[in-house]
Amino acid sequence: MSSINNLKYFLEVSITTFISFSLLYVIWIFFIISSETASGFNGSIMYVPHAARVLTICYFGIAAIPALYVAHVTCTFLIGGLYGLNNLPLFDLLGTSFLSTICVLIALYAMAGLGFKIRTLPFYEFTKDSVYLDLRNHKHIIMVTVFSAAVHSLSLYVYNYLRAISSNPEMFVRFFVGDILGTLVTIFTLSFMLFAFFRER
Amino acid sequence: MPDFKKQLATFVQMLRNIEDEFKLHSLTPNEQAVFYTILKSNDICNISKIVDESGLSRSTVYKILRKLEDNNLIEAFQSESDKRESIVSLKV
Repeated sequence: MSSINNLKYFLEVSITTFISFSLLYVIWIFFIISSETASGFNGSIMYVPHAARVLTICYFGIAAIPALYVAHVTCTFLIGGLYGLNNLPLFDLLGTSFLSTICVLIALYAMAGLGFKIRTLPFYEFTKDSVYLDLRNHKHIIMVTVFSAAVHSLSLYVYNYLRAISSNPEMFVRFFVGDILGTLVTIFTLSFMLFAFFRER
Repeated sequence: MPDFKKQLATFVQMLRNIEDEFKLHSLTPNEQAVFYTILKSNDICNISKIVDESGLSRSTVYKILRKLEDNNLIEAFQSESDKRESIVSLKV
């Protein structure tokens, strides 16, 4: 019975994760990237799909990672390729997608090391001094966003440097700012939508 | 293993907290209850009816009515048939 529940949870999380990431990717492509490519693309200044990474891993835990990885590779290869945003060989596409997928997880483990722990992830130790991240508090989610954006931009910069893809430091800054801005815009837009359409009147 | 629906509810709660923090809505849930009771009664409404329908105590209703009156959302006046009874109506 427990394994059936686990499988059901995994499927629900996977479908939600895949759809939410793909949806945000399409929104990003259509509404944001068209205004950025004119000056030469070197990392988006408002990468909204990062919100899907942060929110799904924070709320659903590691069960979201496989679907997030598949969504990342699929969207970059199919949609990004269509718009000329994916010039990477398959190996590098898989590598960068993997780093992008696990950046939130790494950030959460780094924060756990500092004492901030989240209940949806298995951590090596829980002590009485642990400060639990409250998933109902948007400030905690924003803190995870900032940490994960730092991990994401740094890991991709190092990967691009080592693989001789790019060594432009502007990309690091644009990735960092873009992930934070994109996530904030998504969260606040969702909040406004909730207020506008779903609040009981 | 966490529950999927519970996690979604937590996420919605987080979004609602943003609403509250940025004061996207100006009335509290109790104030909304009182306001909608008056709104539902079409034209005018007495305080006993608001107390009955909103499920709030009489003193809370009085406090809320005073605030709504200060915000220029409602007006209160004495009933002509019963001088002890106050009648409220919407101003908006």
